[in-house]
Amino acid sequence: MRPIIPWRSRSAFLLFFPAAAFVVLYGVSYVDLTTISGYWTAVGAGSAIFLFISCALASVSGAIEGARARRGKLRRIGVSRPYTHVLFVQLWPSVLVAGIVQGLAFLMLAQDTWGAPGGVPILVPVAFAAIIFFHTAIGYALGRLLPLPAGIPVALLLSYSWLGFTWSVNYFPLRYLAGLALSGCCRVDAQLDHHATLAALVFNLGAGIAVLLLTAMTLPRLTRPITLLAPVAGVGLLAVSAVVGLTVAQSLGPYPSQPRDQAQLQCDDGQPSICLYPELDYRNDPAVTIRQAAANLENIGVPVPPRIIASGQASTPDTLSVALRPMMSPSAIIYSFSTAFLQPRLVNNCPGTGNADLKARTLAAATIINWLIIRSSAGIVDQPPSTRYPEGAAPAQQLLTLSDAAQLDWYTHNLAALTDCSLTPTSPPSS
Amino acid sequence: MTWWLRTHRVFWLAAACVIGSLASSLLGTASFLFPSLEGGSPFGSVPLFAVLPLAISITLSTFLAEADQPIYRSVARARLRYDWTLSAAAVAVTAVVSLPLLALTLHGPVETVRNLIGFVGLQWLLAPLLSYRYQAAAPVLYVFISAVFGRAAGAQGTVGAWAWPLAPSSEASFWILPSLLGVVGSAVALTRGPAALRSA
Repeated sequence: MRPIIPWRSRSAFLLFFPAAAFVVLYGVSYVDLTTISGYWTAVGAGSAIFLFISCALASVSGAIEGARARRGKLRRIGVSRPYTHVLFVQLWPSVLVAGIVQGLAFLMLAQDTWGAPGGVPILVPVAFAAIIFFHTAIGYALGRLLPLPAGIPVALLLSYSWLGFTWSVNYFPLRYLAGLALSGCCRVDAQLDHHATLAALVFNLGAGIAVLLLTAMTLPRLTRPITLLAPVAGVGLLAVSAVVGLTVAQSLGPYPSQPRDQAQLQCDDGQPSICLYPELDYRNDPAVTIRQAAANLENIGVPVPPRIIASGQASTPDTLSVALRPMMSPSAIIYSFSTAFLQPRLVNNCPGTGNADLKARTLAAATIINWLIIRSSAGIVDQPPSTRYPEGAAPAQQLLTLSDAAQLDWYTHNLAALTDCSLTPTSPPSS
Repeated sequence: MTWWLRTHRVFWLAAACVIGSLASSLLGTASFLFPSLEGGSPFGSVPLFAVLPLAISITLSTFLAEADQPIYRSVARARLRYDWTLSAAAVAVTAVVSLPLLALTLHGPVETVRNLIGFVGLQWLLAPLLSYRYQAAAPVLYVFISAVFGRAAGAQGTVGAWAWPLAPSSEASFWILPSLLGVVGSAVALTRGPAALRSA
């Protein structure tokens, strides 16, 4: 009797095991979850990284099925079933199992995200399915067209090369046709640009159908024009889906993200008012730390804008944009909070002032960052977070020996001097 | 002999070797790579000199497999030695075309020859298990795995000695495995030969 799952007769099921091992091995050794955990959009889009494994499986098992059809002389025997039915019977295991491998990759990335609010945009799994379908079709066509020994290796090579090659090209719309570029999405203050998923979906679905049309059973012959229909339609569909896909992706840059809808920010009515995305405070609330840090600074007279929002954009005089991600430690929050005061640019390179001036401004900026971190972390963490600007540590210690008022004076003057070319940055005076 | 040359499509194999080695030697240092999560350094960088010689090794096994009919297995000719010579000749043609290109480009020609030796050696070694029909998948899989796991973290990280297809020819250690594969593979190819297919 035939088993319900055709383990032995269908290659895709056997290929599942090495592919799953590959996913786990790759996930364990290379993937860093901190940047995506807690945000479903990032987890879903980020699992595009694993497409090169699931697509390899789809393409190779497609090639094996194609080679089988080729050996069975599918073009020459009469088949009374419709061609779509024949294709479905041949290809469902490849698409299904590759989808399961992709799902496994998603589960690996999602391990720290359970319980987070929101969900994966529905177009993301649909686009992945289309991409897997396209690779299955390519593999099947290669298995049908190439000699048996060449079909499988060429399918594997082409699948990997198409994904890798398109990502190396600097013409960005092409990257979205392959779909791997979806993995560039998103920090919590950004959302997936649906042009990216739509482009991948349209191209891969269209091109997959086109490739299958080209493998149609009847040999095309000029004397029987009806047999030319499938090849012409296939080539046409391939061209159309490529053009449509590229057009849809035209507006995209290297990352498939756009600033997140500010309507999703949830503000509290404290002083200052802190606005966060729901993903940020479902497990630990960064607002507590931020409020305390802001109070620390206000106590010595540092002006803190009345509104603090979670955003990677530049701060303005009345809005402080703090770059946050879910599940940050207090010390990381303080770091983000403190550096937010120096946006949008650390320093201005003033025209005609030369290298020494830029160096003085950079040192002043480093000093300000170190000083802000030390002052704002009082009472929150024992050890202020280490900075990426160690050259400012010594001057900041020097600054701390002064009175609060003197520190504030120095800070006010030098913060303005970073970007105002008419002012000159100073070193902290010795007491 | 004429018939042997025709069934093994020697002309087409030579053409594949010439085109493959020209392309691989001249474009070799260009590479394609994969993004890593959230804009970290990319991974899986594969230079073309690791990919294009695969086209030669796939062509070679295709022609070997197509010629490996039951009738061919029953000839009095020293079949294994002939097949080995065909593979070795493909490597030799590639070397003859590639190495003079060192005058034009520093990187590419040597790597192309080294990788082809490695790929063909790997095919020889695995043919008793995989048969001519499936042996070509082995080098492709090898490149795939070394591209993903062969480097220390980062796109330009150091390449492990086992991931020789990706490495520039600067260090002798990347020659160890391919030459070993070439020697051991030759011994296997000349004594055991490929597996027979159950239903030829």
